[in-house]
Amino acid sequence: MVVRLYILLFLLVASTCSHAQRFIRLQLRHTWGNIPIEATNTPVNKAQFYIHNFSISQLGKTLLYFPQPQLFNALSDSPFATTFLITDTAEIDIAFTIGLPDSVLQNGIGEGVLDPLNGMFWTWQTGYVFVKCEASVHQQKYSYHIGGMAPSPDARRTFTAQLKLPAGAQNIQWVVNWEQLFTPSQNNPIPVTCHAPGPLAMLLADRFLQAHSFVIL
Amino acid sequence: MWKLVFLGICAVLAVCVLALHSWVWAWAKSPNGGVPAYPATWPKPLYNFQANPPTSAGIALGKKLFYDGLLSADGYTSCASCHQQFAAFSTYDHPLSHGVNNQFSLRNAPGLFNLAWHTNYHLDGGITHLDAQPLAPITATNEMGETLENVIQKLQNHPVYPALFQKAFGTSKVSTRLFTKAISQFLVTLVSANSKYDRVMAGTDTFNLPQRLGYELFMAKGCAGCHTPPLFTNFAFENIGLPIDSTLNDYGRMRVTQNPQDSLRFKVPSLRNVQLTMPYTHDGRFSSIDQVLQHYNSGVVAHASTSPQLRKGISLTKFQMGQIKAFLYTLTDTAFVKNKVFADAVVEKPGMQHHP
Ligand code: HEC
Ligand code: HEC
Repeated sequence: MVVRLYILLFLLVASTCSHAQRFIRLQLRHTWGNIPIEATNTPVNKAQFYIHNFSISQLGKTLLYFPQPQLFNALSDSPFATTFLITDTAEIDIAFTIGLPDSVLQNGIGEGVLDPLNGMFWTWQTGYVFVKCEASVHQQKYSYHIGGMAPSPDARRTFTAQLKLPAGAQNIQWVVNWEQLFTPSQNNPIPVTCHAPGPLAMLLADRFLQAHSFVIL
Repeated sequence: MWKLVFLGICAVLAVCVLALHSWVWAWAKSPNGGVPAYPATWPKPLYNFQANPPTSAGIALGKKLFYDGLLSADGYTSCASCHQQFAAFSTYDHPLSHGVNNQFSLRNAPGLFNLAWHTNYHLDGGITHLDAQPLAPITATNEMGETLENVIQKLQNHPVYPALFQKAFGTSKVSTRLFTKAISQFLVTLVSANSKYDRVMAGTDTFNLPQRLGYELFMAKGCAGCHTPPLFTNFAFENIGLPIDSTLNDYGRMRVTQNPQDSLRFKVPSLRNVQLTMPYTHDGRFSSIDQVLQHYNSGVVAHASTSPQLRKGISLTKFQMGQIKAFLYTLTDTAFVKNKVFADAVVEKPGMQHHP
């Protein structure tokens, strides 16, 4: 898929020749607050999440699109990176959905990123954990398995952002700050465990949405 | 003389054609084939046969897995230990089923048949695909207590299984996807459609008087609104006014939807083979059909989510209960529970635990 995208990009470059074109590199980074998650002093033992329908567009034109599910493991994956071509100076629109599409179980149990062996499948009830995070903070062990889709309350969340890329900018970082999950709001203290779809999963899904940001380097 | 013989043959043929006509088994032909036979008067099954077309090798593998204790932590607790064929694949005479380490399941094990017509499984509908069903008992600590990693490793290292996967799926590499597909291929063959009721509807048999009166009552008293023929369930979730069991605290459908309106709602069970699936209801609290009917008559405890048609109960005289019961017994499919095709090849393993 990625290879195909590169070929596509190459063809695009070869066929269109205007001066506003430039390549932008997008890289995913996981952090705990300001420190990289791989650092030894972060309290996270497990951190992975699914997305699908990742797209970057400009003026309604698609520059990058991954419809299929992706699983990102903050602690074991090699850092995810990709490149896309922009042809205009206008803002770019970034969108993706945290969680999995409705069709995910249409054909039975999935393989690859959808294999239950990834530890992202509930077995007592059908469905995937969309975001899994286990951490020891302040001598307390937290365990979050966040997910749920119909007939359970839907814990998928769609992220959207607009970015204005200044001239010369070549790198964007997609930052996932896992500490955000453990940031209590006034009325909602931090739960210790969440292992099922429901109101708690909905709350944590909202918090995890807040964990994402895009930074221009 | 010849004329007579000819007429005789014609008569026999005519009867055969009539019988066939009224009892046509649609051998539904999908491009991939393999959809099990079912009566032509039934709705179409909902299982995605395109994604998992049953083959004889796949069904045989699924059946072997269903009867194999290897899928459990103790090596004995197979699917079949809780789903017994003679009880239409329910756990006979146990309110709750036994899992590994002498633990009990949360719910009464339902019979397994006509599963290709369901869109969700478990009494709360929490399982939304038949292929995902085996993962629940396998990994439940109070049922088979095993991990998926171990199951796959045990199957992969087994002297026989890799070859069976090769035969069924063209690869000897065992995966969650494939072993669950094999189990589904076996489960969808469990079609129960040959009870006396079916024969009566097909015109090849007749109800006796109590059975007929029971059938009429079943239709007239609104039972069929939920236990809808021909599958004898409408697959809805309903609260029939059973008070909560305060040790199990099972709120049914609400566990899945988190919606208070679904509190104490459970999936309407099929009443096919109901004579064999005792005890009854989600926690097996009733040991006889009489007790269930008594509940409908006078035991309903209305609650906000109780089905409107049951709030005041369904009044039934002793006579009527007897007639309904006589009708319900016509839903027993003896050919199904005795069908050797569904039975384990090995009758009993040495050292097999017997439950009291
Ligand atoms: C320890 C006993 C036990 C074992 C072992 C067990 N089951 Fe079950 N089974 C149950 C119970 C109890 C239920 C009802 C669960 C619920 O509603 O929450 C059930 C429900 C089911 C259902 C759903 C039926 C329906 O109408 O919704 C299917 C299908 C099923 N089991 C298949 C299997 C398969 C396949 C295996 C082996 C991989 C298996 N079971 C192993 C006890 C067991
Ligand atoms: C509003 C829907 C509804 C109506 C009407 C209804 N039932 Fe039920 N029935 C159910 C549900 C739901 C259950 C399972 C309840 C549970 O597990 O807690 C059930 C359970 C049963 C059972 C036990 C089956 C088993 O395997 O556990 C029998 C027998 C039964 N009903 C017979 C009848 C008869 C006879 C009538 C008419 C007098 C009737 N029902 C009317 C919904 C209904």
